[in-house]
Amino acid sequence: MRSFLLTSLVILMSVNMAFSSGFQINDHSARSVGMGFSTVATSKDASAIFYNPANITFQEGMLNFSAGASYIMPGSKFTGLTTMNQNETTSLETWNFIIPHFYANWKTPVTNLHLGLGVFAPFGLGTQWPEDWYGRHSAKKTYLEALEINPVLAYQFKVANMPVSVAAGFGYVMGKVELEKNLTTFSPEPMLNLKGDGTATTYNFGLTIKPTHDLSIGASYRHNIDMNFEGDTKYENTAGLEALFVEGPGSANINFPNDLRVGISYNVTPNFLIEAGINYIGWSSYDTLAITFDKGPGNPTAPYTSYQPRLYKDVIAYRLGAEYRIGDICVRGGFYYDPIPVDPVNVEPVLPESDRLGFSTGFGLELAKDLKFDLGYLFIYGTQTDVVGNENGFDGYYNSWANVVSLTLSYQLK
Amino acid sequence: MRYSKNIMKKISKLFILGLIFIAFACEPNIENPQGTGNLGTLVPEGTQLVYVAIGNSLTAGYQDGAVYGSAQEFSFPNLLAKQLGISDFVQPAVPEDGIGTRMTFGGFTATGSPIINRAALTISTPTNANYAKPYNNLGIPGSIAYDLIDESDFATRSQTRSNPFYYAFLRNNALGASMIKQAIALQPNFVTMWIGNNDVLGYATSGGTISTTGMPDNPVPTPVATISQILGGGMQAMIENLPNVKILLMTIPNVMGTPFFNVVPWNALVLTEQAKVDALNAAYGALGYSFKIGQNGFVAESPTGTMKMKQLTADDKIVLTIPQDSLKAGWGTLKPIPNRYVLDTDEQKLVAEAVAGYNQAINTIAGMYPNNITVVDMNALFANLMSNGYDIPGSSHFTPAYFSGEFFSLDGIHPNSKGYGVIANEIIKVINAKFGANIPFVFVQNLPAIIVYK
Repeated sequence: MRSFLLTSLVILMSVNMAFSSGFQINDHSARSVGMGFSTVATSKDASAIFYNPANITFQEGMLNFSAGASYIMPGSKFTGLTTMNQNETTSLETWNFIIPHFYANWKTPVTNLHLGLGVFAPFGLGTQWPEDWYGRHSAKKTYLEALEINPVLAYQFKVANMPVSVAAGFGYVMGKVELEKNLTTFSPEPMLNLKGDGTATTYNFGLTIKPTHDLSIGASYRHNIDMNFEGDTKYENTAGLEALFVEGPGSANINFPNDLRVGISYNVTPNFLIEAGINYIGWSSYDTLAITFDKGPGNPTAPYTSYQPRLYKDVIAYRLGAEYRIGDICVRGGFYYDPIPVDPVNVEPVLPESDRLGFSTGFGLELAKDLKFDLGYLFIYGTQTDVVGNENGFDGYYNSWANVVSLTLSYQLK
Repeated sequence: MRYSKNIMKKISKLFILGLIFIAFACEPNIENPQGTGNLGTLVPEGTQLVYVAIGNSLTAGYQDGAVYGSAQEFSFPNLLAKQLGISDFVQPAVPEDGIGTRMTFGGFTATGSPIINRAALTISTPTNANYAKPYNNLGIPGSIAYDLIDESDFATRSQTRSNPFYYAFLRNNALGASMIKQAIALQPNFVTMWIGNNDVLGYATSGGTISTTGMPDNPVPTPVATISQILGGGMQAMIENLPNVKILLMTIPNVMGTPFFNVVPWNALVLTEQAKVDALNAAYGALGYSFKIGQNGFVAESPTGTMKMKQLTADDKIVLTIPQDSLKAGWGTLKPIPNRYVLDTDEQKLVAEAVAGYNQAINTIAGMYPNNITVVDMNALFANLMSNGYDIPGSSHFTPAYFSGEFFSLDGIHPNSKGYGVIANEIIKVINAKFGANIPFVFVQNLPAIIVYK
C-alpha cells in the first residue's frame, strides 16, 4: 500500500548545476579562463597547481601567489512538456556564484623541489526553479559545492637534456549538498529538503616535458572524489501527514569524476603561445545516486534508500587557447567543446545538460614588475538538448548558457 | 610616485576593459517552437469559448465521499477549462468542510493498510451561492438522466430525494428550470455532458435492491428506452437553442471494476476452528453450502436462491459500504448478509446490459447530430484501466485497486484528482483529433493522489 507513496516521493532527487558539463568547475584562474582552460602544458602563475602542478617548477621566483575569483552567471530554460503537448518555457531563477581561488608555490631550498598549495572548488553550483513549475516533483532547489585544499610537491629533472617535471598532490575536500523538491502525491504539497555535508580525500599527479625550448607537453590527473554526505531531512507543509514524514538523519553518496588532461603548447614566436589539449572526464562515476533516509518518507518506522540511475558516461572535451603578448599586456583567446555526458533521453530538469561550446577572451597586465593582474571572460553556449522519450515523461527542450568573468591577482617574490 | 601613477593608469584601463566584458555578458536569444494551445475548429476564430459542463458527481469533481473546494479545483471540467485557456469557468465554491461525508487519509496501520476516517454528513453552502448566473459546472452529484429535463422545484427535490446538491448547485429555478435550461441560459458554444451513470449506479451500489428514483420498484436500472428518450430530448432542446454548440457526450463506464465492488472479497469468511466448520456444514449442508478451514464464501440473502439465500461465489460482489463490524459480529454465517450489500451474477448482468444499452443510445443520438455532438468513449478508458491499467510515464501505473491503484479516491468509486486529470486528457485527445486543435494535456504527474484535510 505504501509503495506508491515511496516511489513518487523520492523520484529523481539529484544534484547538478547548469553550465560546465555535469557539475565540474574549471574556472580557477583568470588566465586559464581567458584561454579556454588550455593551461595544462604551460602555466605562467601559481594556478598551475589546479591545471597541472608539474608546471610550478618552471616558474621563476622564490614564492608565487595567485588569488582571485570567478563570477559565474548561469542560465537555463526548459520548454515543454512536449509529451503533454505543452510549450511553456520556464527559466531557472537567477542564481550567480562567486567561486574564489587561491594558490601559493615555493621553491624549496632543496634543488629543483617545489612545494605548492591550492584552494579551489572543483565541483559545485546550483539550480533553483520557480516554486510552481512542472518539474517541482523532481527538483526545485539543488545546491552542491566541493572545496578542495590541495598541497602538492613537484620535482624537476632532466632526461637526455630535456627538462621533465613531475608532481603529486593530496586533496582534502569539504562538500555541501542541498536538495529540495515537492511531494506532489499530496495536496497541499509537502516539501522535502535534504541538507548534508561531508569530507573526502583524493590525490592528483602532474607531468610536464619540454622537448625543445618552445614545445611543452603536459598531463594532469585528478582522482575521483568519493564523498559521503551526512545530514538531515526536513519537511514543510505536512499538516495532517506528520506521522508519515518524520524529520531525521539522511545520507547520500556522490562520486565526483576523475579527470585527465593532456595539453601541448608551442611558442610560435617568443610573444605568441598556443596550446591545444584534450580532457577526459570520468562521468561514469555518476552512475547511480543513492540517498538514504533513516526515517523513510511515508514509512518513518524503517530506513529507506532510493537509488536513482543517472547513467552518465565518460566524455572527452577538446580545448584550444592562445596568448599574444604586446609590451606589458597579454591578449588571450580560447575555445572548447565539452560534450554532453549523458544520453539526452536521460536528461532531467535537475541537470539541464547539453553539449557546450566555450568562447573566451582575456587580458593580462603587468601592473608592476612583480605584480600581475588577469581578467578573463568566458561565454558558454549550450546547444539545445532535445529530450524525446524520457522515461519520466519529461520531454522538452533545454537551452543553457553561462557567462563567466574571472579575475586573478598574482604576486611574485624573487 | 611615478610608479603608483603608472599603476593607477593601468587599473583604470583595466576597469574599462572589465566594463566591456560585463557588457559582453549575454543571454542567447532562444527561439521556441510555436503552435500549441490553438483551439482548431472547436469554435470559429475570434470567438470566445463559453464552456458548460453537465453531469453528475463525476463532473462535479466529487471525491473522497464529498464535494469540497480543494477537490473541485481538480474536477475534470475545471482542469479542462484551464487547458482551454478559459479564465472564468465558475464552479460552486464549496467550503473545505464540503457537502457529503468526506473521507480523509489518516496514515497507515502497523501492517501498512491505509487508515481512512469518515466525517459525519456535512452540508456547507457555496460561498458564491448568490452568483447571478447558473454555474458553468452543472455537475449535480446523484443526478440521474431525468434531472436533465426535470423542472420541479430544486429545494423540494433536494428534500424528497435526500440529496442536498440540487438546491446547493442549481439553487433557484428562476436561473433555469432544469439542468438543460440552466446550461442553455449560459449560451455556451462548448458543452461536455456525462450523465446516466447514476441510472445504473443506484441499482448497483444498493446491491440491486432499488430502482432509479422515480422508476417503478422492480428493482431495475433506468430502462434504456427512457434514457434514450431523455438524452435525445435534452440534446434536441440544446441544439435547437444553440445551433453552433459543440457537445462532447461521454459514454457510461461499467462500474463493476471499481474498488467499490472489489475491496471486500466474496470469500473473506476465514474459519480457523474445526468445531465452527462442522457447525456451519451441519446447519447449511442441506442447501449444498460447504465450509472448510481457511477462506470461505459468505452466506448472503439472494432473491433467486433457495430459501432466498446463497453461498457467495467468485462471481458475486460485496459492496464497500458493508458494515465491517457486522461482518465480524456474524453476518455471512449466522445471519446472511443483507441483499443490499451483495450484487450477484444476475444483478451484475442487468448492470452490464443497462450500460451497454445506454452507450448504444448515446452513440445513436450523437449520430443524429454529427455537426454538434462528438462521443468521448469513457467506457473504453475505464475498461482499459480495469484490465490493463493506465500508465503515466515516470509517475504511476494506475490500476483499479483501492488506494494503491492511485486512480480512485478514498470512496472507492469516484476518481481522485489524478483520475480526473486522466479523464480531462481523454477529452483533450478527442478535441485535438476531431477539431484539429492543439490543446496541451494536463500534467497528471503533478496532480495529488490524496488531498489532505485542511
